[in-house]
Amino acid sequence: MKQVEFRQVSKVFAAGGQKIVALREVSFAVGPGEFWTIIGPSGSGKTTLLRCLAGFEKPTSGEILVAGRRVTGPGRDRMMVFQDLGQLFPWHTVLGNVLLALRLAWPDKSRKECCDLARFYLRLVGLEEYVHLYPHQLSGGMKQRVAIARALGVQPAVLLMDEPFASLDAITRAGLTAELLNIWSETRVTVIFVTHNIEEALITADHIVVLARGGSVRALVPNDLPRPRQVEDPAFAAARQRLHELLGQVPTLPGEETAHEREPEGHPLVRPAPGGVHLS
Amino acid sequence: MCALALVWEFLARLRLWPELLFPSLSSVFASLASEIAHGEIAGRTWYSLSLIGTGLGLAILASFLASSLAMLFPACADALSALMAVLHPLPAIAILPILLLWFKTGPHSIVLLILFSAFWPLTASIHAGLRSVPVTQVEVGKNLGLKGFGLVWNVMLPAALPAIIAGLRVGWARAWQASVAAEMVFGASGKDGGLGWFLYKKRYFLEVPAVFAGMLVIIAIGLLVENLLYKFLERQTIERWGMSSE
Ligand SMILES: Nc1ncnc2c1ncn2[C@@H]1O[C@H](COP(=O)(O)OP(=O)(O)OP(=O)(O)O)[C@@H](O)[C@H]1O
Ligand SMILES: [Mg+2]
Repeated sequence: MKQVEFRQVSKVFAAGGQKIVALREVSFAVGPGEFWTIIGPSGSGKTTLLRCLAGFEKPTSGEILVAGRRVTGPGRDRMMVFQDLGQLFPWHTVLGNVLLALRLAWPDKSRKECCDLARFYLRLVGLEEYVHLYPHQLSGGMKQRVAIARALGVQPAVLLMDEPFASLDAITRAGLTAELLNIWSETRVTVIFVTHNIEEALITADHIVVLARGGSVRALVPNDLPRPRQVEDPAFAAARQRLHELLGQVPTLPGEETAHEREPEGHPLVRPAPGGVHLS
Repeated sequence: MCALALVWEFLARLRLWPELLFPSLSSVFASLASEIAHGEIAGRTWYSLSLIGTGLGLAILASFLASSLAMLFPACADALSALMAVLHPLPAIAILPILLLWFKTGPHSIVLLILFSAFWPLTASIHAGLRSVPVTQVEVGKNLGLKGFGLVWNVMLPAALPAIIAGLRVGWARAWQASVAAEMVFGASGKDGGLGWFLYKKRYFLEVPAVFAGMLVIIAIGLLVENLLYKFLERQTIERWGMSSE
């Protein structure tokens, strides 16, 4: 069974008498343990896609299934890690934040068991020495690690991440991305990750969903580059070039403002083929 | 503070005004000392504080309940906003005549007046605080399966704590005002009476140093509550959690 399934999901917002199509007939299916990355220009509906899956928004049409069950509202089987560095509860310590989540997720476990489990997940994200600090005493990167530990502790069917490292500096960001991949390979949790950084998409994903303006899927791209992915790898560079073209941000064609609106024709990789197209 | 005291003492000694109306600070302190020794002021203070404690305690409970309900049910929010728009601007003392007609004189009328005067500013702050809780934190709560009172209790109330503490400050001040004003308007009920009654009675007998002594006690209690209670509460909570800059 597929872990996550989008079936013809559309989302239309009505804002000020005007209709904004944020998602247009999005369909794809994520297998258990897979790492999917959503990429697309700003306003292409990446956040909306995750928020529909998380249950914070209701699709206008279509349906979303998680482990075969239809999504109707927020739930612990889909844990979201937000971009917002203010997502931790400031009145709880690092341990307290994770513990609250675990106590809610595991009502049958004793406090001691939950505490041990919380420490286990905090060790996983490298924060075992900071468990008694309050969120305002942490750096941005540490806050996002706590949020990841809190989400993982609930043991969701899928982990949703909306540009979780976008507010961090480049070095911290690269480090956390690498760590996230380690955690993913240890826990084998299913991940849906949003970014608008092409390299980040290529480093992380098994499958890349390329969204276009207007919220339609431009391409579903399997990414078979061998892990760990090396930016210096010629195959990586080629894949990056093709993703650039798919996104319409062709670096060799400066000044073409409508480049991203145009459906680049005749290229074998750009058609939204149902089975996906290989990059390598 | 010291300079103010010196100026007072100096002006009083100049005898610009009759000593009866403008006593020297030393005579005020002498009166305070004897009042404390003879026991009347302590009893009056205790009586005022117990009424305020009851009224304010009830007001806090009612405010939390009202603002939680307003967060959970849009109809309650509308009703609360409408009531607040009408009743919040009404000076609490203005409802005293009606309270007296309905409930007669007595401590319970003062408690009700305190409740009324502290409830609106408290509810206004708590409600505003609850509505401005960061959306992300509320969504994290929902994501964790919290809803209804669980969400309000675990996420929204703690997140609104800075506004709640600000509301408590105003509520406390209003409660004091209400209790002192009420006792001055209709006097004491029987033998009992608080600091308001004390001030009123001492004025009646023209014991002006004692009037000032009563005011000093009110000021001292205000300072104690601010510095011991509220500052302590803030240090233990919102300052410790880095929430006080909001
Ligand atoms: N609550 C809302 N009400 C009205 N319109 C909305 C709402 N949320 C999103 N939209 C619109 O839907 C479209 C998609 O927005 P979304 O936030 O999903 O884009 P995104 O791909 O996440 O962009 P970014 O990369 O900038 O984060 C945008 O046009 C946006 O204006
Ligand atoms: Mg977004």
